Amino acid sequence: MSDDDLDLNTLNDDELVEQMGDDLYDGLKEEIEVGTRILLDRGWTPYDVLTKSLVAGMTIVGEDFRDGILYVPEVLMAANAMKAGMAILKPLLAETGAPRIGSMVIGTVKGDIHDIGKNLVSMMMEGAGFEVVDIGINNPVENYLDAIQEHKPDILGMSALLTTTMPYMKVVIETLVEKGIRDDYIVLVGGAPLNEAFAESIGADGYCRDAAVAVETAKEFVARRHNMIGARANA
Amino acid sequence: MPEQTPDDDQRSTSSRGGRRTGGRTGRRGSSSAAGTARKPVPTIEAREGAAGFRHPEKPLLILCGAIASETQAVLSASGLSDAVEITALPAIWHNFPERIPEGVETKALQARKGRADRPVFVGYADCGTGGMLDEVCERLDLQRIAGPHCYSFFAGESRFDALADAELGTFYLTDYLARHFEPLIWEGMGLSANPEMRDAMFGSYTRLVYLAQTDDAALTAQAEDAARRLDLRFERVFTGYGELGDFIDGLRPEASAAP
Repeated sequence: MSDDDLDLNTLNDDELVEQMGDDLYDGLKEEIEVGTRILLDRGWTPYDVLTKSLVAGMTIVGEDFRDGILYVPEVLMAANAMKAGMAILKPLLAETGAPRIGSMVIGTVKGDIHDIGKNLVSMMMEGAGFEVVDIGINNPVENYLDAIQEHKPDILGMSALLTTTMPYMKVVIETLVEKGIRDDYIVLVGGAPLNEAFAESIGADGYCRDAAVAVETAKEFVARRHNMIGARANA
Repeated sequence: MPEQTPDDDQRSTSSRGGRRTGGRTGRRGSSSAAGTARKPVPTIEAREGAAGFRHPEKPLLILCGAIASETQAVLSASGLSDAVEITALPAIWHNFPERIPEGVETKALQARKGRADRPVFVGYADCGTGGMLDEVCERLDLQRIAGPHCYSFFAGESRFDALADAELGTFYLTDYLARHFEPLIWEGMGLSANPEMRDAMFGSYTRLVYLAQTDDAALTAQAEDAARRLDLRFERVFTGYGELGDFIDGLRPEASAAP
């Protein structure tokens, strides 16, 4: 161990969580794996490790990307580090019955091969307790229809990076309307050239400017939906 | 990043201190040994001295710095060099299209301070602004280059569509982007600091098409080198200035005065 190295075991819980936030920020995958195991060994629930350490750290990464402090590769390195921690936690989360907030089918639209943002959203949504089915890139409307029919998600998420491909989101939404199933799903959209006005104009429920916002928006809509279902049941 | 070792003691360590200055220090905006703080992007104001408005009697062309040379070449060939005043916005905004609408609006409003009816043209296509540039153009009565981006107006819309349809995973370079691949793409997208992330960023791409505005062997070699560095198949398509010429034709006094 060099003079610069720090034994994570010597840190108390608060210090370790803060340290893991820094390590996540720096994309230090091995350190995140070690920190995750230490917190579990100390009796933390997998859900707490995920939300209080990894998701909290990744939210800061997302904010700094949005503010122009971090570049895409650095965000990807942080995401890889988070993924390493999640790989440890995932089987444990299933065993311990961690809360599932909702489910989502997500994919990049037809004609578009860009998936960095979509992948970050998928990961953050999983971290927040959503079950995510990622149908990948270049998806025609049929792929979305097949996936929502098979998985019956709460949310349909669509991503596009290009001005030329973002109008395809409208095609998907109009198809849902034609089939009479538009209101069965919360439709969230995101991608660099999008904005609130565009999302509204195509009939989406919400625009998510980044992965952290996507999680908050998804939680809000799902909670609202559950409230409505609850109100109907009580009526 | 520290190497992983089988040693338990090593595996429970974190390199706090010397090597780990890139963490939240970057967020606070201080300089960072790990290089996580971005270089400041030139502001409009910073460039104003060099690109002021000295000829309010002429139409103004607000253009993307990444097509400045090409635009000047077309203006010169069209005999319009002295008929239009030009001001450029930072070429690095190619990577930050969300800054373009506000940048154009600021310039246009500045230009019309002394002459409210001054014709103002915009040397951008939509360029990733998702319609926000159109909103500014409509509100301020500005005319921009038709199409989604410079690749399309250099290649011509139908030829560009054919290229994109033939191979979706195509990354495009123009003369400007080939010449400035290092600062704009390699460094500008953060790959110089983290080259191991190249495949994560470009893994869905299969080829690089260099849309050449000029016949320049040195530039072609640079574009080919860029393709090699991104691990993409290389193709060169000569476009000339394409539909940029049509746009510049529209700047002629008789054209801009037409109803």
